[in-house]
Amino acid sequence: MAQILIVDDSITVRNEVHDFLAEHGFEVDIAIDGEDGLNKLSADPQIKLIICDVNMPNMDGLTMAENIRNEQNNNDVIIVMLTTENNPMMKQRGKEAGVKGWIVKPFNGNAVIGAIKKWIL
Amino acid sequence: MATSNQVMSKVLISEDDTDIRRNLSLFCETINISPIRASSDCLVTALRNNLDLGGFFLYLPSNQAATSLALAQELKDLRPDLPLFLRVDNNSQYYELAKDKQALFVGFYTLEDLSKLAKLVEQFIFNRQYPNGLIAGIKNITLDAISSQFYNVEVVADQPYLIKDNIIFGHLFSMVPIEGSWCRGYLMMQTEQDKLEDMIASQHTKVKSFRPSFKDVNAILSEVTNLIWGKIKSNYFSSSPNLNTAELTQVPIIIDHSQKYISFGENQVHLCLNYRITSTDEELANELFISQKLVFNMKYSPEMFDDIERALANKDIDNDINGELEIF
Repeated sequence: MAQILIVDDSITVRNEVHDFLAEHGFEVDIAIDGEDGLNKLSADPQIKLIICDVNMPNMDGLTMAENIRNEQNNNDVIIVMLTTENNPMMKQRGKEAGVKGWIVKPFNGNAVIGAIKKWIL
Repeated sequence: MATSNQVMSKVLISEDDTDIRRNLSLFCETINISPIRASSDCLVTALRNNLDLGGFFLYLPSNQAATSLALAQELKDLRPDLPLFLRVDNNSQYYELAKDKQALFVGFYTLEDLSKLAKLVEQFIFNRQYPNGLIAGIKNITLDAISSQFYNVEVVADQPYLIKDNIIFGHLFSMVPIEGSWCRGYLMMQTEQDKLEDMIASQHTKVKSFRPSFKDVNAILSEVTNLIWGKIKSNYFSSSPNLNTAELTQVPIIIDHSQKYISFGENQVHLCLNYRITSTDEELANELFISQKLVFNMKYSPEMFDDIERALANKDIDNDINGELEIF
């Protein structure tokens, strides 16, 4: 059972974020796109935090976030976007979908670990 | 004429006379042409070693016209997109050529009037301006993106060039669309698979593998492309506010020529229809195959198709004639 779910179509990003968080003692699972992320969340309600890309095939990250809030009625899980996008419209859509945070890639674990610990622990 | 800020273009100069070659090269630098000098007997090698050219400068000696024209044709066959600029000893030499030979060249010039060469270069190579800020920005973003994915390396950007070449460098390239309010096109990153494999195997990248597969190579290139695309899109290619943000998401497409492999970033089945085209002349017996593939990698909602089919069935086809001009 995982505490954190990483959703990204890039294997390098998944591995990097997973390894960093695992080194800090977190239980981490991964998903390869938004659809996979929804399935993983449904199967593991213990997940407290999702770190998610925007640009993914099959289902993008913002659509996944909207789905989590509206279809799954899950307003507890914290969703943070980790993306190359810095578009104000996308951020606004994220906010409306209940996204809590927005990280522009590349991932810098040391910059976000403090907040992650507060959310999870 | 040339400015220190203007981007250059590489041109292959085929001149056997070393003095002329040198003088022409010096003139080229005043019109932002970076000359690559080659004698006529090693042109093909020079071509193979330079895949990012803007054009050719070729000389037509009066006593070896046939050889030079044959060379021009060969160059055109090998690199059809590159403009050929012809140097002649006098104007009549060009006008005496057959029309089909004249058509090989975008124009001609003589050593006595190099301003004509400058005008031709302006017309056929420097006919599009790329803002310096855009070039510098893309370069810096790309340097940062590469540096973030590779360890213990030095990353240096070469002089930017304008190219007419459409030759793919290396075996592997990624492609991602750019959709902006002021431009639309594709960002491509092309590289050599074996060299990138070596980088991965020697632990210079974020992929941890001593025996990288071609999918590992694809992963690195995909992520670098993604980082660059995201940043340049954010900085330079902002979209119209009327566009649905869901339609703006993209993933890089990876093409690996050595594997004849193309990836759209997902594992769904693709719709494929094959067409066979056969000549009705039994004696010729020509046959052609075309394979058609539809890849809906970013969005696929088949439940919406019923409405579309119904709308099509109800459509008034009399008002929908192909080829008609519709005026708003």
